[in-house]
Amino acid sequence: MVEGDERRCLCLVVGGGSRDRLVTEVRRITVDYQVSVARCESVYTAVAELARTKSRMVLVIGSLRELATEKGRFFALAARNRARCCAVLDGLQTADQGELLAAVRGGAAVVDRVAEVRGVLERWLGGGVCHWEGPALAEEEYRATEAELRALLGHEADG
Amino acid sequence: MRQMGRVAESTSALGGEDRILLVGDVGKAFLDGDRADRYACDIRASALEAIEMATKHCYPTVGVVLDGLAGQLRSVLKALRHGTPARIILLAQMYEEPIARCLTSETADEEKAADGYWVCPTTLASFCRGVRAGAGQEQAVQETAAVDGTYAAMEVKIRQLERLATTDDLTGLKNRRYIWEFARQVLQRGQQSGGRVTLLVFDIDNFKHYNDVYGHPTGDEILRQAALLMQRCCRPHDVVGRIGGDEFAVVFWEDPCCQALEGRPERRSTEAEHPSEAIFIAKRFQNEFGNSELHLLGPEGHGILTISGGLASFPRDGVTIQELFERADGALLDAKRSGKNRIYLVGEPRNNIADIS
Repeated sequence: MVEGDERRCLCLVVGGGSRDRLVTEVRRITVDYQVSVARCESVYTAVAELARTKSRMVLVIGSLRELATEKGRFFALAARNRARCCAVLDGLQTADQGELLAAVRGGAAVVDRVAEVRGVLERWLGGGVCHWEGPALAEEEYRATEAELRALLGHEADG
Repeated sequence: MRQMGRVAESTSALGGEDRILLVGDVGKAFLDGDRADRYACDIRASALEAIEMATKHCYPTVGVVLDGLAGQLRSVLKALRHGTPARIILLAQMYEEPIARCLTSETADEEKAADGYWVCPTTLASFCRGVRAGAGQEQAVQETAAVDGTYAAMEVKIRQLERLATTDDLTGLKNRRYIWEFARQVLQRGQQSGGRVTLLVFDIDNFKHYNDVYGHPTGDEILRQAALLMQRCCRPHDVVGRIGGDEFAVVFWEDPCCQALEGRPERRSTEAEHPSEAIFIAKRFQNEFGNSELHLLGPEGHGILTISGGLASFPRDGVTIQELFERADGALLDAKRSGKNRIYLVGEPRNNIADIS
């Protein structure tokens, strides 16, 4: 499943068939970088792949709905395995608030369109070099993001 | 079904040569689910965390509780297969047995999704003893009951009572109670996930005549023959039952797990039509039963048996088992009145399935 195991950075694309837009787009983007791409049928296969991938840097890319399975537990699990997540809202007219919050809490990058994955990938690679920024956002950054998100969604913060 | 309190997650000494990882709501599967530590089991209620754990640690066996996984089941099993060489054993409620049987069958296209299944509720004592010794459920339950305490003995009783309460003694088929409950559950599932369910109700033409003229042993033999033939004609996940004297019911349903795992092309009809698979099976049974031999009658017994039936489909003909049964039974009566030896489709008057090409 994994192409070019010698590469140190791995993109796991979750969901969709091998000809799906997200998969083909990620493959197209990653051609310019030293990044392997593996497609995982579901978020469950992605977990198995993460657990097997010990020393590599991993970026998990998938639709928000797919990655937010089990009430967003996947995001925390990915962070625990030192993987970064990128949740794509592409096509989701009304993103679920709980799913969005779970993604933000788990330190995932949330993007509107598949094309924006390139930006996330470049930040993740740190300008062409594999550079890990840490599994989650800094605490104050996270709070700001969540507050912003709640404001955008028109909801007041808990408590 | 009995419900036990959710068991606290055990985290001691993860993995290892003899430990068993249990996935899901263990309280629904085991009578003694609170004794996980005693039997060297680790428990993860979350499938995601269980897959991570199974991949990272060396478990020879992973037990997966089916109840609660619903739509995710296929993905979870595939991920476990992908991540670990462990033996995967399904823990199925009684009504989930057809699904479990299907998931543990090998097909030409794909390896089986799991290696075996146990029917729940069971006891951790017998389950652990059985999977570690490689024994089947019946043997493990009996052996555990012989040496272990109350729970195992209770399980033996549960197994016996369940069998008595859900099985038709004469034919070995499921009885009316089971068929009703099973159909209720697959219909509920169908309403949630859009799956199709079809109910066939049929009886044996002139059954009273055979009983009166040739005696009850002949009547019993006819019933057994019909049961055996129908089971042979059905797919593994369809359920056949005897619901009255000479009256039988078959629940045909779409099992997404089995279809996807078998890589079968989905021959899905529109909701306005009866599913073609069900019609095909009913037709085949009708032909084979008509050509069968009733050995007790000697040469006269060839080709004399016929059936009449009615076939109703969810959601087009009803959404509850009562509605489907009434519609299918009505079609069966129409078939009788029209001269017998035919199966009518509900909503399509005088539409004998024999005429459908």
